[in-house]
Amino acid sequence: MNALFALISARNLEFVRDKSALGWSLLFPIIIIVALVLVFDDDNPSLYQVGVYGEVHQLEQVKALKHIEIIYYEDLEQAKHKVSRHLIDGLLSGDSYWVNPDSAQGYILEQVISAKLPELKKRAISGKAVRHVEWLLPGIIGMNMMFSALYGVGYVVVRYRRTGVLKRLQVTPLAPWLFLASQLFSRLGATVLSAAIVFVVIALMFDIRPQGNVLLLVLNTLLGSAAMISIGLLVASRTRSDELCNGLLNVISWPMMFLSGIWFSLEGSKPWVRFFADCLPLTHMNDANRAVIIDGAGLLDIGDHLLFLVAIILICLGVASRSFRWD
Amino acid sequence: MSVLLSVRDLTHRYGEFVAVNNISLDIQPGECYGLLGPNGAGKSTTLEILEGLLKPTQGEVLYRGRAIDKTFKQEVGIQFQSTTLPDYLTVYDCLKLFASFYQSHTPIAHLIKQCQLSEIADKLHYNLSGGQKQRLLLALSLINDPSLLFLDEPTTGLDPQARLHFWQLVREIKQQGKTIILTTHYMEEAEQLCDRIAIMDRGQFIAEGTPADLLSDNFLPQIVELEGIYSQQDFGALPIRLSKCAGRTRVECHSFNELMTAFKKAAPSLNGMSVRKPNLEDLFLKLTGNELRI
Repeated sequence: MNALFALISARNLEFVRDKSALGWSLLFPIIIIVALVLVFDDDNPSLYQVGVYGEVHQLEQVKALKHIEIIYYEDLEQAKHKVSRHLIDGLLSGDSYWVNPDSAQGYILEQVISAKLPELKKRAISGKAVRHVEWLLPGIIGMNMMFSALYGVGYVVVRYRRTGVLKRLQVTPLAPWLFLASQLFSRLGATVLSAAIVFVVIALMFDIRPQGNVLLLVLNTLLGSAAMISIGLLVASRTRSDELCNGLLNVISWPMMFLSGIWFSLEGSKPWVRFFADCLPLTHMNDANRAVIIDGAGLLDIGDHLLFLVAIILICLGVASRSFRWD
Repeated sequence: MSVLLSVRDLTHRYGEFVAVNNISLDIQPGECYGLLGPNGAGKSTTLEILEGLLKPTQGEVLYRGRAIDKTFKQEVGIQFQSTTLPDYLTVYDCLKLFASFYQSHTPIAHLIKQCQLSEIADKLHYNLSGGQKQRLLLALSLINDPSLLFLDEPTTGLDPQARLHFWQLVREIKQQGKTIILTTHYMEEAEQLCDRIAIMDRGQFIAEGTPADLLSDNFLPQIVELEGIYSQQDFGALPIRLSKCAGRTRVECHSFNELMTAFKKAAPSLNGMSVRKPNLEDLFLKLTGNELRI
């Protein structure tokens, strides 16, 4: 029994004396909770998001309902597009309403509309309604790639530094940028290849046919993955501490989890949240992949996203190879 | 012959602590130079500076008359005290990987033969025994056919057989004309391998020279250890040096026969008596002190 308590006590000391681990275990949940509260600071987050364009009869009756958020749009076609892409649950305009037949929320919303605003007429959304799985798939694959990219290089480089692998490499003529490039390319191959396999399997299972050019998907996935690996290399470029590396990677990966449009769309959220989301590489990769798969977007359509990813790669790799430390 | 590595007025401080205090040395091509000293003497810091890993606070290190630059890494080989290699690589994979870092390299097959790795070439490196691992690390440090080789405590932790084996490899490397800088805690190793040694203590060189010169400067030619306590009077006017420890007397003398003849009392029992030549271990303890450092 003594041994048990002695071991518990030794482990507790180890944990408490490792300041960075202790710091993170306390600080991290606080950061996450505060961040979530800031991003979704409504007392009761809305269950349904309804787009409104122009005049709508008896809109007040809808507004009076709880748990429904009204988002105003300037462009009817754009708003309809959002419905078809599951970005909002329904759309009201004039004497009509639109819902996505493939959306569970849309179905419930339809029941509410027909009860409260019976004179509104249902209109079919023009074009193909996107199934939920088509919307979800690029996001889930993107999330998987993000974790594989960030943690896959971050941990390995820090472990190499701590155990002395890097010290041995340092006394060879190997240049830091060459070492970083080798980590980038080996991880890039693994990440993109596994993403491709997952995509093909799911696409066959659910009969998903990308509307756009598959090569464009590959290009976008390569750039997105390289951008996130570059961030991982930047984080790991100096530190010797596993815990610090883990903490920094958490700080980077969690916002992408929530804000890069994996689980829910940021439709109707505050401008600063949108802005923040637009600074994350995963947002751009997800948006570009969805545009290619669902809308058949071409190179020019997703050019902005690709340029952003290239910029992230260049900046992170540049800073990482300048600040890189072998020991 | 011109000096291969020249160190002038080297000082290194960590904050207030002076780790290396104004040392100078010249390494001649083809020699094996031993850097000895107790733990914390400043050996590791000195070595890291000579290896080009650490910038000294003061002083300069010249390789072939020039400051250490990029070509230095192409021409030196370094075996650290312990090195971790990337996981899941075989001995052969490791050699191939390190060979790729250099403009030109020794043929891998040649290194495998030289360092006797052929039987373990396909083994994962973390499954090697201590001696095998050190031989692999030695092979890695030889991969660029270096002119200057650093060996940092290469046989620490090896069993006596593996150590003897390793020494033989180092002798063969010396025969190829390579210059070696070696640190070790084993005085026998220094005696076996080094042409010149320096003993470091508290950041300074307290002795430097060939092992033979240092021993003849510091000791009389023979050491006789006797059971029981004796003093100078017991030996008349014979020039000797005495020290006592734990009921035994250690006598340094010019000749064992002279000592025995000079004995005033009945000759001591041969039981427990030893006659030997002074060695570097004696020198090390004499210069750095017998007392335990805390």
